[in-house]
Amino acid sequence: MTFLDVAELRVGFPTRIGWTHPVDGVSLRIGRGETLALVGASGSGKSLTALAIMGLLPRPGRILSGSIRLNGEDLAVAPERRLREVRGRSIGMVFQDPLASLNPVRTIGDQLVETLRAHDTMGAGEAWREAARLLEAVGLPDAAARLHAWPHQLSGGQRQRALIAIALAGRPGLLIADEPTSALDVTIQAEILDLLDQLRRDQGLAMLLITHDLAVAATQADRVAVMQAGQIVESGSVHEVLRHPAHRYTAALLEAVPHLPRGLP
Amino acid sequence: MTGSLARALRVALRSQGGRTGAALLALLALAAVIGPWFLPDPSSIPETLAGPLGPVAAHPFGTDQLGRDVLSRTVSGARISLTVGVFAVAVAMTLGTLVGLVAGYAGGLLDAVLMRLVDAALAIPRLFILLLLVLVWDRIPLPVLILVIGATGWFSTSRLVRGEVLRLRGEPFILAAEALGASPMRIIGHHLLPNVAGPVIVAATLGLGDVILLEAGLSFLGLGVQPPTASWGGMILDARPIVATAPWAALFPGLAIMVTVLAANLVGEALQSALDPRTA
Repeated sequence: MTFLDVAELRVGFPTRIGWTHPVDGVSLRIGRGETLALVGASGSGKSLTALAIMGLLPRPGRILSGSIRLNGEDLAVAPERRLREVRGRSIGMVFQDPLASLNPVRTIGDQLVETLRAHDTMGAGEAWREAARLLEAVGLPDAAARLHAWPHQLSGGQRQRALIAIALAGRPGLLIADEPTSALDVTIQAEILDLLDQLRRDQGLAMLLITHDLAVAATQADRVAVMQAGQIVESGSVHEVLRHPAHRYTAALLEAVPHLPRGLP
Repeated sequence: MTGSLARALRVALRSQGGRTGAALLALLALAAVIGPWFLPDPSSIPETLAGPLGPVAAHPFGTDQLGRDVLSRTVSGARISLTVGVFAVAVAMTLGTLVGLVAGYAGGLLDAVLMRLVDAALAIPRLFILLLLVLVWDRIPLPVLILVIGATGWFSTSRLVRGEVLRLRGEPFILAAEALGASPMRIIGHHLLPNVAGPVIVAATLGLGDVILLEAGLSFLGLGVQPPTASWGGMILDARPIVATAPWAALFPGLAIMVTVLAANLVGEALQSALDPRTA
């Protein structure tokens, strides 16, 4: 069952010499409980695709054509009012830099409770209990105490766990994770990816995983779409795309992955 | 209050200047609040006119040419000056923060129009605007004086806040909040406001000294607080004819102005360096 269906999406930015199209005819489908990895180099249009889905394109960019169907509803033509309900409620998003993505002057609990209460009519006491439960669900040790912690008091991995809890507070059906582990230590990366995968399975989330790291895509995703210069040049199952790349660009990306030199002790 | 702000306050109070300034301001406020219970009526004129008396035990600061006690007039002037200062600064900071937040977050045409208006307002000297507004009233009521001073003092604050908002708008946590469905009002109130509170508080403390000087200046010109209410500027105005023979009548209110402005600036500077990550 397709949950997110993006068809022929085209994003334009006006420049002095006419429009540029950093996202140029992108089509994607993700079903419930499925992970699609969107891979590509920096500037290939991955993040802008995600922001277009959220209706959060930076000014003066806008969607020129195409459709973004979420559960049948076309978000590309939805009014801002409706998009505000969709954000956080139907789509959750996790960003690359966990420290910068948390408001530095508000506690973790404050930010979590705010999101909970923005989407549901929930009493303060109930919201704080739910917040503690959510932090526990993302594996933050000593969750109840962490509610009163400031962002700078947590480690990178703990912050990303808190952000995942915040992103899932509105019980969205789609989670967009934009380079969720790129700013983390390698050892923490695997933990966060495991957590995302477990949450996807438990909650039947549709997941759009944006990454430049083919290893991440290979281990996490059911299907892969490769993006270059605003277009999807190749897509299919992980096995098809990464084992037998049909497109030159995919092959080039695969070759760019560094290998440990032979003969290393 | 937010944690980083409380931390900055603690750091500011640990510095020598911050502590001195805060202690002086607290002392002034205390004197202004409880002074009138212990001191003679500031506007009472003795039946037998003795002329200005030098400082003696009964009148530590002396008396003015009408025989009024300079100490109790100075203390009662502190009431006026601190009231005008605190409330006018509150008015100015509220207006400046509001305009800055809206202009910075909305951007586009609204931002351009608001900031051009601020540019225009900043190009006119504040004293001229104030003189013009104050001249409309023959005897200006205190609340109006406060509003007028506050309404002409928010321009640079709005610029400061707008600049902070423009910087914050690029921060991922604002985008993250938008991605959670936060409305513009929520972004402004819950995410931008707490982050601009620090610079605004610094601007407010530094602005307090300016406002007290301004009020003293207006009262000295006879346009601010009206007699017989004692105000520091007004006292210096009254003491003009006797300044050579009874300098204490002008000296003590003048000292009071200087000490208050100095104290406010000491606190403001300590807060500023406490909030600056390079020195804190």
